[in-house]
Amino acid sequence: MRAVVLREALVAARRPALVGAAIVGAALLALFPLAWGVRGIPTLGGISLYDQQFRLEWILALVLLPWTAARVMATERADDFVGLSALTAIQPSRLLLARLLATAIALVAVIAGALPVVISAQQMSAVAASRLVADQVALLTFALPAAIITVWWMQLTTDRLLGWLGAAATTVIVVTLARLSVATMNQAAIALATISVGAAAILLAKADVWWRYLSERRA
Amino acid sequence: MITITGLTMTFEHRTALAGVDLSIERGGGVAVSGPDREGRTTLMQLLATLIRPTSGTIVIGGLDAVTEVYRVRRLVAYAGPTRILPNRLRVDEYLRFVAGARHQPSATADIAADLVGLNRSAPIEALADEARGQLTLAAAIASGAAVLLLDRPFDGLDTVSRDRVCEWLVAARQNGTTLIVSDNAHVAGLCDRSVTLCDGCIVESAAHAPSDQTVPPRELVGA
Repeated sequence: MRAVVLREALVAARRPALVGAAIVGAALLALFPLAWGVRGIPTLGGISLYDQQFRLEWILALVLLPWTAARVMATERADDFVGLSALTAIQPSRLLLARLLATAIALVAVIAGALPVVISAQQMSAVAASRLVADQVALLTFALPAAIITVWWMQLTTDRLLGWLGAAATTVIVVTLARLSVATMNQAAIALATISVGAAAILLAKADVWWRYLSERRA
Repeated sequence: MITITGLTMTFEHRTALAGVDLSIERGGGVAVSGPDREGRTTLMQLLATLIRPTSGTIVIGGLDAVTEVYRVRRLVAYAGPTRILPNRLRVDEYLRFVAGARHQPSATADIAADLVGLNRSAPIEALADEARGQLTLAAAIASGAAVLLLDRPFDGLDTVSRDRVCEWLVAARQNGTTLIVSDNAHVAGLCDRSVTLCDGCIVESAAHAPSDQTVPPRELVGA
């Protein structure tokens, strides 16, 4: 299992998309106060720069995380996944669990890459550090559902583009639904993480059956 | 080590195997030959638990290969026409990953790469199709599995690498590794028995003299 997690993490770390997403995310957040000044966008009713930037951070997370996950994860799916299981003598569920963990860690790295910018905004807006911690923990927690949704999609389709688009659309829908169901975005993130653990459990439980044998076409 | 009884495999429009019976003891070696598309690869894939038989039983190491697929996979390693996705890994990283997953020391991976003549630091993306075939063979060697299923393992190997691999396989058999080689080349020195598959049935079975360490490697496999 350790070897598989290391391999998945190595594959993710080698993809330029990982560093690219972290840089784009941090750069756009950094450019936000430069573009709008420290008071932020006037139409947002005078809320602090930190709050405005936090909204932008969520929007970026919704766009960037599924794309990053789809780009960085190892490419075996369907029959190739069966072959990987036979080669390593590891059950598909364990291979997928390793992939989920590695992808979630990669997404956490993307979110964490923007922390210096976010902390600057928090300092400029004189927002309590506890609030910053709570917001960022919620956002980091969101890496888990984003990874699980994308892994689900990437296993179901053989086309990476379709997998990404499906994952992105699903992520936006579930985040919207979660946000409508609870009071704050932070609560929505926690609720999503909880639900996504259930979705991951279903995927892992089915994996050993779905990817046990090669398809007849491949055989 | 391996007992195959009444093994049948039917695809949508054709019967690949029609009632194959075969028994191989631990440390045994069987060469499977026959015309292309007559069931050799199907037999290897069935033994590797990559496909499910239509009927019949396969028992490997006392385990039923249909009901205990994942336990059987720990015993077998298959080198054949399997796609290897590069994922930006190098040859040594890939082989160490396989060895690590199979709880083998990483040195096994380096030995396997050297045996088949692969440049350890080469990125997999840069490998030609032939070299990727060598990589699947190296992965099977690095796995340390008790049963090696080698489907046309010598394709793409130069003479020197082929001799090295043959020497290693002979030694592995003497240490108890069971070997099944699907190849039309003469592999009598590697295996103590050969079977010929035609129309999905074993049409010929012949025993060979026990492999002799004094046989020069290049006489083990010849065109």
